[in-house]
Amino acid sequence: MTATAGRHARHQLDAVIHSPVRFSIVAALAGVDEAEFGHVRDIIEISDSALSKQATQLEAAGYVRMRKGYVGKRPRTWLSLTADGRQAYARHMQALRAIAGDAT
Amino acid sequence: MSTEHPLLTPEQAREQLAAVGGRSLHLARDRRIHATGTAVFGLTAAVHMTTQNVVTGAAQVVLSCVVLAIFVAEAVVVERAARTVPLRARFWSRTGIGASFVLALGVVLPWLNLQAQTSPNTVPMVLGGAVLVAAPSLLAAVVIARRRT
Repeated sequence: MTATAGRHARHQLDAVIHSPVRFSIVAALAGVDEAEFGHVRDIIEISDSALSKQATQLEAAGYVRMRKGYVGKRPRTWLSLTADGRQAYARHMQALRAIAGDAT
Repeated sequence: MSTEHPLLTPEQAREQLAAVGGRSLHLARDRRIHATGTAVFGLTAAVHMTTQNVVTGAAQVVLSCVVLAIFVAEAVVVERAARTVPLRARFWSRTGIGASFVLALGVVLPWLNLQAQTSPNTVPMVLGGAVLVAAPSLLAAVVIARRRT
């Protein structure tokens, strides 16, 4: 908890996930165990560099894991949510529902 | 990382919640790929393990090589073809295949070996054993294929 902590639901919003692009990435990854970088890029509709930048920030926060490998000779990167990432996403969604007046 | 709490109106929150369901990475095709992979892995392991007393000598070496090749090919095909690992697919796959191995090593193989001491294993015995060993993997494959999330 920080000095700005309080009881209003907005205090439960995660500042890392709150960015629209990062929110889209986390929300999409929450539905799978792991997804290939290119597939996430296509679904979120952003560029390689933008996804790479946002995924790196999420990885730095401990929310996303990036696994690099090869399929044949082609390099491939896989993205997945960590346990911390799933918890943070669940808390963020709960806060969104509370703010939207739909707390369940 | 910033600890400042973002401001959000109820309308914006509703918009974000509505947007969540719109972009799913989930692919039914990937579910089928992982389910098929799990079923093939379990069936191959079941056939290989239960034929230990039936196939002997050079034929057993050949069979082992074929089984190994199938395992490697299956792993490569799944990694290449699937763009996602569906939610809990890995858990169910590992659980099913693990249960198949436990059943084979703990129940079916000791039973087949015990029977082989008095008379050779018959085809129905081997088939029955193979079905029993493959069952957990096949069940896991069905679970993977049928899950919707």
